[in-house]
Order: sequence, then C-alpha cells, then structure tokens
Amino acid sequence: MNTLKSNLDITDRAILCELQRDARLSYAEIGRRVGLSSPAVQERVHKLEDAGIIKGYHAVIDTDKIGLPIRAIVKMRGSCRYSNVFMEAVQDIPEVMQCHHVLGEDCFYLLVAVASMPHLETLLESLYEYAETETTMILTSPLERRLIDLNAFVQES
Amino acid sequence: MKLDTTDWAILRELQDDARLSYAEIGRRVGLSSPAVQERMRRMEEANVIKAYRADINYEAVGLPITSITRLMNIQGKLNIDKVREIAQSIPQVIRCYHVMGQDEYIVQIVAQSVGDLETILHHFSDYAQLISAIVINSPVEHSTIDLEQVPHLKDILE
Repeated sequence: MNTLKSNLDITDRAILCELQRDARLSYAEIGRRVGLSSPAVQERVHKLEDAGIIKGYHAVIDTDKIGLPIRAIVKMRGSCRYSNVFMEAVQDIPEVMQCHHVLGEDCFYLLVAVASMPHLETLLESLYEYAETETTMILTSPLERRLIDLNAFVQES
Repeated sequence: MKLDTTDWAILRELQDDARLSYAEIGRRVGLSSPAVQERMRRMEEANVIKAYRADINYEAVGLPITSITRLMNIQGKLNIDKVREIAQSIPQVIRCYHVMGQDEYIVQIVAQSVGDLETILHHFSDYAQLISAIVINSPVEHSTIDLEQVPHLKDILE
C-alpha cells in the first residue's frame, strides 16, 4: 500500500480514529487513549475541525428502529434532466440518506429508506420528473461506512 | 420503542452535532441535563442511536477518488464469500451492500489515486463482473432524519 500523503502525524490519526468510533468521547478520555493531556487533545481537535478534516459529528440512527425498514439503492439513469435542480431538490427529500453524483452511464446513486412498498412507489414517482430510475432492494449491509484508520494506510518501513 | 416529540428534538440535535453536552442539548430542547442523559441512554440501549461518528473529509486526508462499483454475477463467476471477504479486508472499501437483482453487491471505495482504485478493483475482478462509476460529488452524504418535520411520513408510520 502506498504511503498516504498527509501532514497529519500519528497522534492526529489516532484522534481521528477515536472520534470516528465514538464522537462523544470527552477530551480527557481521548487524551488517555492517545497519550496526551486534555487541553492538548482539544487543541488538536479544533485544528482538525478548522482545517475541514473533521466535517462534523453525527448520531447514526437505525432506520429499522424508527419505522423505515426498507432500504434500496436507486440509480437515476441516463443524462439527468436538470441535474443542478435535482442536487438542490434532493436535500429536501427526507427518504434520501445518501446521494452521489457519478460519471458513467448512471447519473445519480441514491440510498433511500422507506416505510413500505407504497411509500417507495410514491418516492419513485416523484423522482421520475428528473430521470428514469432503476431500483435495487438492499438485503444486508456487510459494511456501513467503515471507519478510516489512517495509520493503517501508512507504510511501516 | 416509541419516540415522542422531545426524543425527536434530541435526535435532531445529535444528528447535527453529536458532541453537544447534555446541558446544551437540555437548553435547546427544554430539559434538565440528567433528563437528556436518561433519554439518550434509552435510545442508545434500544439501538435507535447506533453510534456517534466523526465525519471526515476523505479528500483532505488523502483519499480524493471515490467510486461506486457494482459487482455482478455473470456466468456464475461471482463468489459471494470471497467478495465479502475482500470487501472486509480492504480498508478503502467503506460501504458494501448486498442487493437483489442483477447487481449482487454494490460497494463504495475511497482511493488515493486512480491507480490505487485500479489495484483495489483488481482484487475483486477474479470473482465478479465489475462496473465502476466515479463520484463527482455527493450532494447528500449524511442526512438528518426527522420524522417530526415530515407530516406525510408520519402518517405512513402511524
């Protein structure tokens, strides 16, 4: 594996790893794990935030548990009509958990969570004004947003 | 677990900023700090809240290329166990979905370069037919779920 170009040192990388695993850890607890004082951790975390390396901290909700048990990947096909309009509009579609604009034969990939098949149907109808869709149901997610351990990318020599 | 309006208010705050203190969440939703803590504990135990995650900028940490790759089974070439094993073992594979239909798996990969992506795809290519698309941008990477704000969704669920 190539050495990752990065100006983050091994401690920054360790902090990023801890915060991806549990974003609610206190500075003191992170400090204990990476071997720093609490103010030193705080300073590093602020630097990582200011540099845009940490974009935010989010609670991850189990869509099964809140009544949205069906998940699907929707491919929006062909040259998307009004793709700029769609990129704006998609922000306000609550069923869309992820939206990726891609190069290639499909133009957007959406991950949606819905309550029922009629609910999915209604959603797909509303997407049809932008592009033709092709929908695939998700059976399981063996990997859901893996934690990036940057130290694993660094070649030890 | 039945969530009330206050639970949803807490969830909204935590999806937006998971590092808020109990006291600050309390101020925003009108509860004492221990009451917030108790509600969060219940939602964590019921697995409504699965985790609290820092969201990192892949590009800024040196992983600027993102691809969505469909792994298809053509002429019985696909080896499900092998594909799963490879997906788990490569750190750049950040998401993997087992899906119905022509695509058997859909994976998301973040790579250091196009060359790096090619190397990763090569690991899969003996076991599945691949179709990759490069992500230009991701208008929604993390969405805040708020059923309280979506009346028609609420109707469907009730």
